[in-house]
Amino acid sequence: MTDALARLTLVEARDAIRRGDLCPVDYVDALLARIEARDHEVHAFTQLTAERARARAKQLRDTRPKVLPPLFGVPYAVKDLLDVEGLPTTCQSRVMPTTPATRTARVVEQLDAAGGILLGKLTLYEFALGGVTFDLPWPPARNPHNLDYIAGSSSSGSGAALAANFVPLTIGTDTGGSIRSPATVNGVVGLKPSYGLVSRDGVFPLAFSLDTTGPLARTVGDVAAAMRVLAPIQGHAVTTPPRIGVVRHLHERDLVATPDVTVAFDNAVERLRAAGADIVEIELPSLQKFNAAGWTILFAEAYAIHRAWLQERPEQYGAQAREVLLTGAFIDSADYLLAQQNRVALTASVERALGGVDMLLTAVSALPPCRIDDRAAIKALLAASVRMPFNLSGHPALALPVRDKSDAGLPLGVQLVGRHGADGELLAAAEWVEHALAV
Amino acid sequence: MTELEARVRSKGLERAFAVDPNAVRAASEAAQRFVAGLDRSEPGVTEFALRFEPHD
Repeated sequence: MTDALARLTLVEARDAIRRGDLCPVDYVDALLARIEARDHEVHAFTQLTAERARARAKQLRDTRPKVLPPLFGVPYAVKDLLDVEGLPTTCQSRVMPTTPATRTARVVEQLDAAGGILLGKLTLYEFALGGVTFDLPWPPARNPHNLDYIAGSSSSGSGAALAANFVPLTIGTDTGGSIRSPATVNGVVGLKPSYGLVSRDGVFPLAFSLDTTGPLARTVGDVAAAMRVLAPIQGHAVTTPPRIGVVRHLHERDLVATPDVTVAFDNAVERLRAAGADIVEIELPSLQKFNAAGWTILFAEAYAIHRAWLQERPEQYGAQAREVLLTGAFIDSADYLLAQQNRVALTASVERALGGVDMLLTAVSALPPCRIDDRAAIKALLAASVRMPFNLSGHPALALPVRDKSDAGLPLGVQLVGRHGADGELLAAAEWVEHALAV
Repeated sequence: MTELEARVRSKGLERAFAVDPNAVRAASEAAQRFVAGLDRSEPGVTEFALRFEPHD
């Protein structure tokens, strides 16, 4: 029974609660039991708010309104980069104060106002950049599909908590791909919304001109249900097959993908074609150009936030975060501005590419998930990312699992990219893609 | 004093260098790699600066 409840999608659970078939208290108890039984090996949570969640569920049960808000009784958890009043915002770092936050992130307020129940805060890379590391008080999240493998970059707990069936909705952040990576390697769906669409208020920044906050869940419909609470999105069900621009060179020429990734991508394209999609080949500027501008901006902006701490108490950082955050110290202002100038042209190229199609389809990564104890493979995996172009351009980008698995049996996925600000339309088209890929 | 040590001093990062000189060296090299990939064929940042509208 507990396992059956834990496997419910957000929409299934929400609808069961609305019908009166599922009590929020029983649902929360079932999820907490699963977390308490298994999170000692997954490490998805940095902080579990069990008593707070139980009290909230009882309050919802006892004061059930006639008109239910859209996520009434739905549990969720957030990356430990978001402020929740009464809980410390650890950012998975010894640098941060241990005192509780005195305010709550806007996104958490929105989910609570919609009837959500916060279960806790989730594991991440230190300050969303530090990588898989074992020199911090919190262990890194592990992949529930195989605990010897990584749970993705930086919103790793947000992906692992879904794959472990701990919770039906999580919130992550994505500055260089950190929602889409954990979504892919954990076999779930993650949306990096259009830049600026979802509030970043109360979210510790990494690089302000690239940062986004967004949802991860088990289906596109679940992500859409969360997004309707977080932003004023619009989108109608797609009934005719879309026109899809396939961008292959990012993982076939700019990077060289492994055969399992290439086969999974090609099979996905053929399934979409067989379902009636109009497939056209699209070229963008090289991935190297996007990465050079994107990472220059990211490192410079991140260093501006961390400069005083890196000068005064660098020893408090984990070794990897310290090294990566110091990169920005050696980027001068003229190069930062040149990167922003490059960004204008690169963004226009994505905009032009979307002019004749409903969406772009790309790989998420050129490499499959790797082992958590293989530092060289983790470094290679970070360099194999195909995600930065759409942080740089600000377009919405969604990671979606495909049917094929990696040679090691881990999930693989594809990335769908929509027009800026048209996140609802992208989600509607993504539901069509999800269905076509499942057939 | 090496060029790197001079840059570290100018940025007030002596403590970080003392804690982990290899990390500082690696960070400096990584920064050089990323900025080397920037497209410098556009005319500096003049056009970008002329188009910038802070109140958009």
